[in-house]
Amino acid sequence: MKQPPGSNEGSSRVYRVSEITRQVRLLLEDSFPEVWVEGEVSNYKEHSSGHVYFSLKDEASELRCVMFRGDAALLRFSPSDGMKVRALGRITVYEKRGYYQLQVFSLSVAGKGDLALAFEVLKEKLRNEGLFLQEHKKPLPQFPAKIGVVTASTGAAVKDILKIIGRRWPLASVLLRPSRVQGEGAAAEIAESIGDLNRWPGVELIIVGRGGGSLEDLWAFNEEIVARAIYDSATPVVSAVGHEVDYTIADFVADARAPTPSAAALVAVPDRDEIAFRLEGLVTRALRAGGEMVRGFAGRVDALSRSYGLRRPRDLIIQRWQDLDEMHRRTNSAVRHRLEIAAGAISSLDARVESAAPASVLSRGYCICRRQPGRELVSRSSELKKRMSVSLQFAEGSAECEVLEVEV
Amino acid sequence: MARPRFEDQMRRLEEIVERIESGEVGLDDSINLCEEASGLVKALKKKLSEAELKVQELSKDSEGELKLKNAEEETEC
Repeated sequence: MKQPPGSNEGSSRVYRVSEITRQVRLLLEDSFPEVWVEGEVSNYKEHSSGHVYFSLKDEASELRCVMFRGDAALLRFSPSDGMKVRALGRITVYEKRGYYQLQVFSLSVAGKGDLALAFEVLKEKLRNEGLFLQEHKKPLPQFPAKIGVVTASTGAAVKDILKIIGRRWPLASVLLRPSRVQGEGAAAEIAESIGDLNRWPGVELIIVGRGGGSLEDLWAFNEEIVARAIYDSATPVVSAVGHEVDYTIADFVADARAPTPSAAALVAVPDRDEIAFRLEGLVTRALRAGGEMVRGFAGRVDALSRSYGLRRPRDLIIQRWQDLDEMHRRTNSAVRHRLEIAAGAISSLDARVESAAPASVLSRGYCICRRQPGRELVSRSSELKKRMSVSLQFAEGSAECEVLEVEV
Repeated sequence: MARPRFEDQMRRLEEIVERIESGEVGLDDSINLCEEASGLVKALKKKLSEAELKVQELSKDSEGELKLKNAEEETEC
């Protein structure tokens, strides 16, 4: 039989941890079965299970809260850090860890928290002054040679930034300007460091930030002095505060906002593999363009070589050949002509010779006289003597005759 | 003379490629440009492959003077 809570009889007995925890639990849960609690949301986290964890806080205290999936699903707004809410729930004890918490059934907005209000007031003021305007945003250098970093000298933020810059763009050099990023005076120190890096020669880009934390932890980045220092910076500033969901005034003023310090490093520098790839692309383009140009010129040279201008000398030679052929032809025909004339002359001579032949003379009634016994041709009467035998040849046939008288 | 900046060299290279591609330069000029481009590519590749991140720290002494010191070796990749 256990001692009931509050019993004096058990003052000297020794409890086991689970035992006393159970006692506390019963006491608390019985005392606060249903309560309304008002406070500011802090460390709000939605777990993948669907349960929601956060704290409610005011100036002095903090109360752990859990909202189980079924209740969380009924929320009509998205709670965020700094938001002032009113929660209905019961106090429970998480025995395993030995802490108490408020199990929230329902949640409603209860007017804004002081920090959130300050945030809204400053944001509105700076917006009206034009500090967030796009036209004031400076472009980030594509290949920053020297990058200034304003953050705590220890902690994950600086490690993440150096790791990523070292991996992606080791061509850069990094100039760390260690600064406190939370607590009293942090904002002034951050602002001063931004100014220092602006005065230091060669700094082309400034990363300002810190890792995640509560709204209070990040508060320095919501202060006006930091916003003004970023706005006044002649060097482009990338802000990198907290986690994805955290937005600070610094983010609105900065030339570029990165959700985390790692992301700021990604924004700040290119990736050398990507640039090497781009370089290859340029080389390819240059080679192709150069090749095309050479082919173009080669084509032109080719075309020119076939042009009339360059063909002309050869044409002239060909023409000379033609001229020669022509002359040759003409020479030939002249010779032939002469030959033809000669041939004509010969044939007419032939005809005359023909017509001069004895047979044709004989056919006209002449006869040929030959004397005996030698049968020599007789063309004069003096060659004949009385009683000499002569032979007369006619066109057809012949006769043997005797000379009766000779007249000279 | 100051070390040529990566950015300037890259820009010059892009400009050369665009000029060659435009076809507006003569053959001789483009051969010169190609030579320049290949020099740039070599230099840029060298920078990309040989670079090593340099980290320095700028801190203030008691008089508020900024002082530079080399940060201890950081981060393995």
